[in-house]
Amino acid sequence: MKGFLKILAVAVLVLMVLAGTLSAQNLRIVCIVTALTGSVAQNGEYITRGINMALDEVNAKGGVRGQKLEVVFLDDQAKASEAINAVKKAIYDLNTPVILGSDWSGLVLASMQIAADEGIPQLVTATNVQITSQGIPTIFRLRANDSVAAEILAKYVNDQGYKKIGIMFTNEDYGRGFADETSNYLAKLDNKPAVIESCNLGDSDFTAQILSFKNSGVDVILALGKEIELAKFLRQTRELGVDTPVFGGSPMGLDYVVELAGGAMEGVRIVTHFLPTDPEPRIQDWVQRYEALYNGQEPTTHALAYYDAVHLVAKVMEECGTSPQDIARGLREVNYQGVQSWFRGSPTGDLVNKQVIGEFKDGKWHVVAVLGD
Amino acid sequence: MNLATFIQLLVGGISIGALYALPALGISLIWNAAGVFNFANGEFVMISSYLMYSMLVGRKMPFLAALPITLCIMFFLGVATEKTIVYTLRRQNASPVKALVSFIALSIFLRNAARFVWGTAPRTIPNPFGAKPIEMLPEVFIMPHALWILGISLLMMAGLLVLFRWTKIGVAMRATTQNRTVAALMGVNTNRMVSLVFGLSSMVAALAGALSGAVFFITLEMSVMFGLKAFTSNIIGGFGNPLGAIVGGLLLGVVETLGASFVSSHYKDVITFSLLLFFLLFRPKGLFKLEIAEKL
Amino acid sequence: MRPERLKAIAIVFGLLAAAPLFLPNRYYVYIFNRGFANALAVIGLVILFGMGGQISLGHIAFFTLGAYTSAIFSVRLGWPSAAAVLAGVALASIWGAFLSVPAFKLSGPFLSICTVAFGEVVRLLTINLVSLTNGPYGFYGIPSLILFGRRIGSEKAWYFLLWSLLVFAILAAARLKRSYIGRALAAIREDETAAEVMGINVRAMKTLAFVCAAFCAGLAGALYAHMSGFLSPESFTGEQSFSLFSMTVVGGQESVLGGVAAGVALTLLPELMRFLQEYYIMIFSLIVLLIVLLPLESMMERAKMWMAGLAREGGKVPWGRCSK
Repeated sequence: MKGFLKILAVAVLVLMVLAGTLSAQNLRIVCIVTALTGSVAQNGEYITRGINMALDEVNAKGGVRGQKLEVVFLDDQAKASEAINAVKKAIYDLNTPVILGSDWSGLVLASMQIAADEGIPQLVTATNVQITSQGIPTIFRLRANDSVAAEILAKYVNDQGYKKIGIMFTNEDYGRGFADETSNYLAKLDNKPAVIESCNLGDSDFTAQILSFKNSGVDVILALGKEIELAKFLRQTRELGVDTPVFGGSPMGLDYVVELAGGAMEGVRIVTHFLPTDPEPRIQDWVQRYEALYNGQEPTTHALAYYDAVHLVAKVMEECGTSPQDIARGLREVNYQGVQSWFRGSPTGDLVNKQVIGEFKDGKWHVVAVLGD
Repeated sequence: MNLATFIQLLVGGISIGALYALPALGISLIWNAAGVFNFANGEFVMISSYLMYSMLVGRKMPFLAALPITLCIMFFLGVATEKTIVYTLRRQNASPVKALVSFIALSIFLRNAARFVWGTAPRTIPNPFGAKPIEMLPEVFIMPHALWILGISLLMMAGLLVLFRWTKIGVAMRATTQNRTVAALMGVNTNRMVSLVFGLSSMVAALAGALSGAVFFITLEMSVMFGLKAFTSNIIGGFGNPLGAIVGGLLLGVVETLGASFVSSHYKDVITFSLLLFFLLFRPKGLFKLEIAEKL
Repeated sequence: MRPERLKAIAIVFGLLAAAPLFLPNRYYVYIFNRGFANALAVIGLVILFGMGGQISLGHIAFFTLGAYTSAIFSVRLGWPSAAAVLAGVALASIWGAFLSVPAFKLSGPFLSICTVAFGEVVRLLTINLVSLTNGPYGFYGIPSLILFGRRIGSEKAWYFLLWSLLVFAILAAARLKRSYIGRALAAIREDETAAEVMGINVRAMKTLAFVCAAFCAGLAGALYAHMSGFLSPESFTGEQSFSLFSMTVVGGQESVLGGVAAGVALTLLPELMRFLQEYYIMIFSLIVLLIVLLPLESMMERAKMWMAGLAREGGKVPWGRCSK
């Protein structure tokens, strides 16, 4: 026992020295990935693919200011405490000039103040409104926020003439935030949701919620929140013989959600950031390159958002400089057309306002409408 | 809420309850035979779900071929657990706390090991019982798998009853669980009997896994859910009483589904755990008192 | 305790006190801080599980209670942070006393599941009581601690605070172990009925052990809340409870110093070896399983005897003497 502890202690010391002496040759930036391990490791894989693809392109063109760009991936295991760890490591230990942050709002909210205090700009894809509403000048967002998506969703559902709306959300930061925003917008349109139900992450039986929708006779269900639970919910809804139209948010567009939901996905409409079937030539060109690189696997919104993030950072660093202040200044004034959308500097740090409405038909997502650019 | 809805909830609750009852039964068998609490039972359920997935989706085997293979593999996994962990503990004459800690560690180990074999993405298998709901009564829809799960579970329980009542090996198992020393004196190979009970119990858990994989999604977290619910079923029914475990499981399924509907789906698990704490504190013997002497 | 061992321990703690001066940067100080916070919680488990034999698998619940109470009191009610920490510790301790009630009747798996259920209920409540805890969004904007008019904000300040609390807790726990209470707890662990016959107030002792454990975890939690400035329910899961529990077992259960060393080392290791992060819970569980199953004590005894025999033949004395 004691021997074991002694070995532990020595190992810890040796590693600390090693970690301290390793020095960087390349221009290093840090990406905090949600997550490389744990229940959402699938998303982490998409993120690393998008980043690696963009890195190869940037470095093939000579890198940034003559230096090779390098991205260090830190895993936050989709836990707030680990996200705080990762941000501290990125800033204090790896001295990164910029952080590519998480797509989970809770994790960004947990850790963004640390980066803000040090003046390190952070580019996130998490969509909760609170992230950019706190007046932090160094936070930048690469996808339209939930408020934009919720407004579009509420307006779209209202315009389609649905009068009795049911909302189903998963009880975590994303689902709850999105549901709150959507019902606020619906209330403004004088079409307050008739029923609001929710579930916890990990729930597997939704009979009670489905029957509640069925009995109150809603004519549309908005399913907002995390992937796995909503796929289950959707499947059980159809299995129980309820064929009310379902609308959802971006998580429903992910390939494994489609696979999990099986035939139940047919006819579902979503508001999302990106669909690989978007006919826009710029996007089609990218999708083909991505599929060629990764054995024909379809890209996801994660892959594209982080792909654009790397190009955006490379461009800003090339033009404005590589210090945190330079990058933050550059991002505040940026005006750049990426593959996903335009990125335009704004006072809050929201760079994007584009949303796509898609419908699942014949085993594929089809773009119904594109809003914003 | 009308009657049709109520009946629908009831049937849904019972079919989920049947899935809780099976691992609960497994826990109860092991508790009687070896005097240890199998914390890793939920993981056995999960692993068998993944095995079914590998065979059905990976190797495109038919459901009826994959099921017996899964049950066999899980039987041997159960026997292996007994031969390594339980046997070592028994030889050391280890304290119950030690046994408990090793089973907790085993459960965490299995859950994380499964992650390396099958990854973290949730999986699903095609529903072998068909996805078309049956309209049992007007306005009451029931999925065929609910009926199948109930039927198969009842069949399994009846089979176990026959085994324990009327076969020689079953009587030997019962003798071992009731008094190992006397059983050994009567010429029963008690070590083998304990191994067999372990194999049997993990087979029962595996059945729950194989059936639930068709209904729910297969995730790593399902093991925790099944483990806790199976334990709660046992506590409600009376710990160590196989019949109690079954009734407890069914009851828990119904209470949960009704609770989620009438109180709030947010507090579904809070209801379960409050029920557990209530029984532990005020009725630790459960609904059905156990006749045979307590083991430790 | 032998003087040379005491000296070695003193040197280790002295080195630890000076560690922030030669650690490469603030990040390392921060992960030491987290290690210290965990070690503080582990000391509680050493008292409860190692000394008293009572299993708690929902120990993170006390950590959560301490953390959220302190955060709620200081943010929502505007209490001074030091008072909020005390409130958090008090509430955690009170719940510790409540949780000892089931321990009067239950033991083994029944008690452990009871603690698991308690942990889950606390976690679900932190998710669902949105108006109080901000639910799944997480609780942010927790002010840093102000102690005797001094703001504890930097990683270094936290390091010295946690280090001194840890040393104090170690001394207190070691003292407890050698006191009447420690011996009574050991008696209860070995044979509850016998302990009762000997005139030990079993219920009072169990309550005391639970309160001590909840106190340590609650203190660690309350401090963690002000140290990180942010709390969220997904940081306090059953897996974290198991981590604390395995730290206790790896440290040798009964040994306060062992528990502290394991608590710090097992927090630092996955942090320093990122490749370990994916495996570390699996490795933890395997180590725990091996420690429990392998007859380590008798193996060590035999190794010691063998070494002693070797030394006698060579006429040399190996490190230390072989007691027993």
